[in-house]
Amino acid sequence: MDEQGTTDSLSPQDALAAVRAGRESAAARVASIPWWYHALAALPLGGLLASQALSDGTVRIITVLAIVPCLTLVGALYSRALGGDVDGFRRGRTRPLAWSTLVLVIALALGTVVTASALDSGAVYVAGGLVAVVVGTAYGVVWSRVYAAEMRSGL
Amino acid sequence: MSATAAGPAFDAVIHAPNRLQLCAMLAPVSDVDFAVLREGLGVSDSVLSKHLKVLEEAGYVELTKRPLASKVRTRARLTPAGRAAFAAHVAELQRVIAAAQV
Repeated sequence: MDEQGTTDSLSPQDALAAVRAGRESAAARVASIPWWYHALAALPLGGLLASQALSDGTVRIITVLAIVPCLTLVGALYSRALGGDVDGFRRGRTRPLAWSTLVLVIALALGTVVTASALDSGAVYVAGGLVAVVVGTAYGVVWSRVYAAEMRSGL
Repeated sequence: MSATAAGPAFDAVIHAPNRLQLCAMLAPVSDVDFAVLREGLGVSDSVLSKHLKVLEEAGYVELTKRPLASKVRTRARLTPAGRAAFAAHVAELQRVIAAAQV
């Protein structure tokens, strides 16, 4: 292969090798993200839930309004780490994981609200927020591994 | 030969090794920074630009410029036609290799 990428004498095997190199590059970028990056990304999600423990309605609303932009920041951080954007719900092995995690997070949020109301306890929101951070971190770590494995197989 | 979503199809535009690798880097993501593509391929800015230009002219790649801090970052993404052509080309490569092994 030359730098200009001409097709001269490029065998099908060499061509597939070039494809594998491209997929390996994508896998390596995702695999290089440390676990704490995912934990950092999950913090706003946990914060949204835990902030419901605040008794003062005004403070609660201000806190939520302060956290929402952080979700955008999380997207920007991932984009920077990956050198581009990856759709979490992209077609492939990661899609079932993304949808099941979304359902889990919604169930967690609803369960937290119902339990906190039943027990009349703000601590439940804090506990729910912590669980959300753990779930978000685990999702990020597992998603990355599944994605990298998919990129490194199948050809 | 034009690519279709229906089956394997050789595509001379994509078959060049650097462009194949480019498409393979772009296919599993929404878009990728120019700098990441350059490092991934290990080529110069001008060489990468030429390959992206060829893919763009074929309608396989879209280039966008985004302001980031004080710089403007160029990102590339495969178009639906590009994704279909790349998938068909890879399928054709696999078909040829499989046929040769029979």
